[in-house]
Amino acid sequence: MTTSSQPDHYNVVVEARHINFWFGEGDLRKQILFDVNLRINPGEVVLLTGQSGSGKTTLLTLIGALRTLTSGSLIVLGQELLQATRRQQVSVRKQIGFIFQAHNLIPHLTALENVQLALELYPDVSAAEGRQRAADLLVAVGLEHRMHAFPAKLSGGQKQRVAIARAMVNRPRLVLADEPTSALDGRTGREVLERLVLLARDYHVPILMVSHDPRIVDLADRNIDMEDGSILPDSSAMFSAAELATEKALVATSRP
Amino acid sequence: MSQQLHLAWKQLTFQRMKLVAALAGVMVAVMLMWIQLGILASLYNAATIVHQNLRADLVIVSPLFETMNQVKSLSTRILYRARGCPGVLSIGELLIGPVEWRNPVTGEKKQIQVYGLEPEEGWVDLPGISQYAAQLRAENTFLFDRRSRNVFGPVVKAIERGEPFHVELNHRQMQAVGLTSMAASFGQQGNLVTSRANFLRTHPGHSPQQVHVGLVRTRQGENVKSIQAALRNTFGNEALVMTPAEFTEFELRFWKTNAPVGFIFTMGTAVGFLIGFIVVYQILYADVTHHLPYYATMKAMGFADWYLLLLVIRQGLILSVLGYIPGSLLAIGFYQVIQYGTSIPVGPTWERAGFLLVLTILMCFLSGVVATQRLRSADPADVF
Repeated sequence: MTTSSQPDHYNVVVEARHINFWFGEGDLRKQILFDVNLRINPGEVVLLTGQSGSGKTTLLTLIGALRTLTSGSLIVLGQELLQATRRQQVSVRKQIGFIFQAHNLIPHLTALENVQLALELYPDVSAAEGRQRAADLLVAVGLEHRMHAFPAKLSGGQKQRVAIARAMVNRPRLVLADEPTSALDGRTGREVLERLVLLARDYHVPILMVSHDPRIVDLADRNIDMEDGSILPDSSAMFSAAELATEKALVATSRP
Repeated sequence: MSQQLHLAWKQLTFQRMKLVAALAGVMVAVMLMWIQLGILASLYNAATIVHQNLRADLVIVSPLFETMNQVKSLSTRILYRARGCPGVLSIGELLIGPVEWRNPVTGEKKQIQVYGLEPEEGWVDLPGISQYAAQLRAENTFLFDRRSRNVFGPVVKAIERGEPFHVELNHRQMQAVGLTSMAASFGQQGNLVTSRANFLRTHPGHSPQQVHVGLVRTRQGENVKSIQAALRNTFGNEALVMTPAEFTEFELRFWKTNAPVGFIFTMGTAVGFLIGFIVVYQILYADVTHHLPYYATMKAMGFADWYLLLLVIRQGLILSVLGYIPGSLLAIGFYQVIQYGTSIPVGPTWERAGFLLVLTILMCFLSGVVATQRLRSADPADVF
């Protein structure tokens, strides 16, 4: 089997090769990830599914430079994360928009201020510009009437929409979302995700989303399934949908 | 850090009750430090008020002399020998000793400190002495310290009305002819100033050949240091020769080492500092713990550790300044109460205000720094 084209490193958003990962030390050392290979291309919406304990959240935190990689190779946005310094980790994180299971909005800041908070990372963005950008995004997620509300006054779906705006306001080059709908009911959850995917396609930002909700599979370009720390063989972990089709055709024609 | 959001301020003010509790803690600490330092400074000031106002070039005292509050006497022969030294212009005597004051209204007997000197020679520059020099020449007259404690009867009122005030000192009828201004101290409830002759009248047991503090004036243009060296050389172990500044330090050293007051009030200040430190630390620590998930979120978003560190320390600094202002105002109010109750003049100084502001900021800064230890447990990987 041959790969149809060598990936251009500058275009690949995430490239993971032979990632093994352990928790704990000594006798308590437990392997969580086994030889994980994965690639995310620009603009792709990738869904990462699997049972709880399959290692998908761990994989997400490694890609987000929130954990330190000890084995294999993981290039995220052009930065090798194996043995990356703290400063390099922080620099990668700044280019990623995170959406968490719990919304994690700062309770003493309004919706607008919560979105503006992400812009504090960029001191060269002026107050007026930051405010405008934050307000625009809140409009985009349909919260134009709730901008000055504190999180305690917002519904679950509204809070998660603020979190989406916060993740997008810095124009991230990658969005990582961990079960963003788990705290929401089915209909609200789907609505929130539709907004996220729509925004991401508008901005041409790739998304890696962990979820076990089967109702949202149709929103993604690709689905990667994990089990017990490994990516299942039939998952299209390394290739885009288009590449996969070419590959299948190649395999079919090479057969006698 | 651009800080367009004033995050530290918003975090502090979001929960009003917590903020009030924190500010109360800082206020109490600031107030305690003001009061302790204020009392200490006024004690030191009251104990050296005569020293500070000496108009002499050199002071000669007995080698046994430790404090003006409990004087040891020196033979006048030493003074006459000093006068014979080259460069010395004149000598003077200061006699110090307590008498029994009988309150003419209540009949109550109180001890009061008497300073005897030649009033027209200008050795001690306290209010009224040169002005009343002629009256003090008369027999059985004295000046009363208006800042004496309020236990001696209506002396000040009588004199302010222009009436002489008659009182029995050591069973001798005396008359207050005017007022001076010194200070009550921890050692003495009140003071009075009189002539050398009147001092000897009220202290019949005191020999005129004894003096408590010998005063030396040098000729103009003479080097005081070299005359001091010469006098020290002449007297050896027989007397101590000091400049007035050294004499003030000498008295202060007595209070700082021999008496526990200096230690007590310094400890009091340290306790105030500690209280403030602990209160602010507790508040900030609880705040960091409470906000740990948010700090972890911010770390995940790419905020560097120092940003969060500054966020906590900034809260400490806001608390310090916000608590310092009302704490200081309250302390100044307490100064009035202390002064009213003890007649010990306690006043705020800019120097102390600056020192305490620095101390308060340091206190809250340290609390913030220690509280940020908790930040380390904010693991950005935990927010998933």
